Amino acid sequence: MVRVIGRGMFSEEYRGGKPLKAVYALVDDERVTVTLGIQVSSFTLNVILPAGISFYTFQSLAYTVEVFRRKVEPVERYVTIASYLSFFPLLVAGPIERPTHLLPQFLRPRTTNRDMWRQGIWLICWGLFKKMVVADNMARIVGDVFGPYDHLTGTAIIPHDGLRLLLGIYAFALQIYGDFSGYTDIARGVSKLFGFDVMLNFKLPYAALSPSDFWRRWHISLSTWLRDYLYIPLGGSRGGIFLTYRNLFLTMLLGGLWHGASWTFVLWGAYHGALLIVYRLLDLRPEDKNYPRWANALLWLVMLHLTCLGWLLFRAKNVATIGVFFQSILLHPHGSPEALAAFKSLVFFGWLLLLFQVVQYAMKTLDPMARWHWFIRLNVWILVIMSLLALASAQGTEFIYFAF
Amino acid sequence: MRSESYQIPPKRRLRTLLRIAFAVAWSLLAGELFLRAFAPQPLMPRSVRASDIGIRTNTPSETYWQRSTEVNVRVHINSQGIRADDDIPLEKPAGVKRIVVLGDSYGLGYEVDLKDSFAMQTAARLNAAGENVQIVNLSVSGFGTAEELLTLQHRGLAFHPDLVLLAWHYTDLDDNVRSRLFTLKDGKLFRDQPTYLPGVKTRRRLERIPGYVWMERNCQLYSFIREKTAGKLDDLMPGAPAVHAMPAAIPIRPPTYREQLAVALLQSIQEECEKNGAKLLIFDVPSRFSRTEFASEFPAAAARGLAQFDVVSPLDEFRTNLKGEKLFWEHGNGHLTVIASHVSGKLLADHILKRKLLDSPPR
Repeated sequence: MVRVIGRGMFSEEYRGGKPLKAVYALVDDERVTVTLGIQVSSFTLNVILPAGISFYTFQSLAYTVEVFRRKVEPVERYVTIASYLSFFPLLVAGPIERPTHLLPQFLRPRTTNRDMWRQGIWLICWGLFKKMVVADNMARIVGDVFGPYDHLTGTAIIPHDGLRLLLGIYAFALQIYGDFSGYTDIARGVSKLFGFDVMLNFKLPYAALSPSDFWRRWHISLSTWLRDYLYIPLGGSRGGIFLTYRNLFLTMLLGGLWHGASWTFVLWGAYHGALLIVYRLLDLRPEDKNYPRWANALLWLVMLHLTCLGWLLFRAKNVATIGVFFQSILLHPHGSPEALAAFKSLVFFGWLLLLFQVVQYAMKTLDPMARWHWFIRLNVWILVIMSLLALASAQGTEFIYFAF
Repeated sequence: MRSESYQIPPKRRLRTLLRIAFAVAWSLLAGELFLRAFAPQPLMPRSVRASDIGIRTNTPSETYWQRSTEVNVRVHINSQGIRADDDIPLEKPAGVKRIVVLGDSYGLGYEVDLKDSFAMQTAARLNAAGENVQIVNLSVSGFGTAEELLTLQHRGLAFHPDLVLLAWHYTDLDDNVRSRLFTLKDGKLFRDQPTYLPGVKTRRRLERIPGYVWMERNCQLYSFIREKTAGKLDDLMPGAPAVHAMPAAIPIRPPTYREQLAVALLQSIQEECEKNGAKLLIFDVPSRFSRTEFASEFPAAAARGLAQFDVVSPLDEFRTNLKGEKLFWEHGNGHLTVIASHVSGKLLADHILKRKLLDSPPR
């Protein structure tokens, strides 16, 4: 599988579900692609990179830096570092592991126990549910809303009913969460079966009350990596207000760019950087301060919609698409039969995930199954397995983060 | 550390066993409830038996329901194994014209009420035009042309048909080869295997299990598991058929063996009809690829030069006047809908009247 930078992850080639296969090369030569039978346009092709390179490059960088900082002893055997970098569950979409956490697990004998198996199998099934039932079904709503690609004009054909577009953004929020956290759950589950403990990557991100809270919950392995190896080395918050804001902004900008060479990703990174700065300027720190409940509820609602707005920037094919969305949502917020159908699908395929998240939040644990009576656990298992068998989308889509 | 002589107390063992039994029973019940609430499954029972001529026949005197989110249809099979409310005497009453229908589940009118099936619609329109027509529907789900030929020879001709209406469907091409009831050697049709009874024995055994028939007709979880398992097994079978793809156009190539076999079987049916003073009319059931994409897979090219058949196809009507209508059910087994059956019945009746196919040949 290869990654082609420069065409954007949502280009027709990616969405068409035709992964380019088994090429492990860094080339910029069309002759090579022709020889390999890969059909790509010379206009869009810039670089071909191996899948998941962003993940294991960061992982190897972390190792190098930690060895330099003398926080980690250099490993003696090549096979150990190779295993750490190419550990298969994490290879294509993370989490971006740290040498301090994962490397020692390769150096000591691993054991599994009943609890690890229980957690591992649950994580695999729950991850599959998030991906195949939630994300893949949301992908249909999202695909309809963000428009099929018009090959003649090179633009997306976007419907103009605002309510449907808004629902499309909510659906994408669920899709990207189900897709990415689903993969992470599967990776963590498989690792547990092999006796490895892989770091947590998601902690109820849509329960965030502020941007900083969001980044403590979303793609934790990337946000902590950026914090430790970019934000803090840049000076962190030690150089005064202006430098702190500059560091925050730069970190988020580069975090956006990590996703791909597209202006929409740059915009998304800049947007999150700006959000962090605005919240700091307003001194809104709900996770540290004791605001009344209603204020927290309001902050949650605001943050949820700010996150969704970010997803619009992330998913939009180009800047013009973002303009069309704003225009339609704000000026034509009317319903339509298609909007109603989208709403029904959103609720139908999303309710179990949302309910489970609410329960996780209320019980203050990510593994409520461990605390429940066996009969409740049995029913949750039935819901998940039956959903996987009966509701999984027939048209599976590739994991979004495989493109990064 | 548990000692080796440690024994689980019988009471605890019993409790564990009871809990497992309850969990299994509850899982099955909850699975059924889940499907009914979130993903209703079609219940499409079909009941066939071995006939005395070595092929399948509808189980006589059976009544069952076909249910999906789109249909709720009663299927009644009379004591002769024919889908009809009452038995049909072999002797043709005076003044009555008989149409014997041969076909598979499409011919039988699955997923529509008897009165809405294309055969009954044809009869209704002919009767409205002053004819006195009686339908004898000998179709059996899963039949190919080979079984239809045997059915005509051994059962259909006894009803003294004036017209034989054969529902052709593309699945007949493979069914004929698979059944091996007839083979082609040097362009000639030969009788091969004496019987073809796929799944009939297994079905009989299953039906002896108390509650099986009830479960098959009412349990969505059973239907779901059966369909999923069958689909997976089909995929795993060596030489599994490729995905049924839309044919590009009438192929410019020599006819394949299965096409030649189908044409030879149809020719035999035509000869049987001619010998017995009946005419043959073929209803070409289109293949569906999407709500707006249909195709005819009648081996027209293969038939060209070999034989001439009288064929009625609703394809043009489906593609033009009915474009966008739901013409095949989408949540069940994909048979013709009521509207498609009615339109087909009208086309067939118009054709029969125009070509005077029910008029007795001059003696």
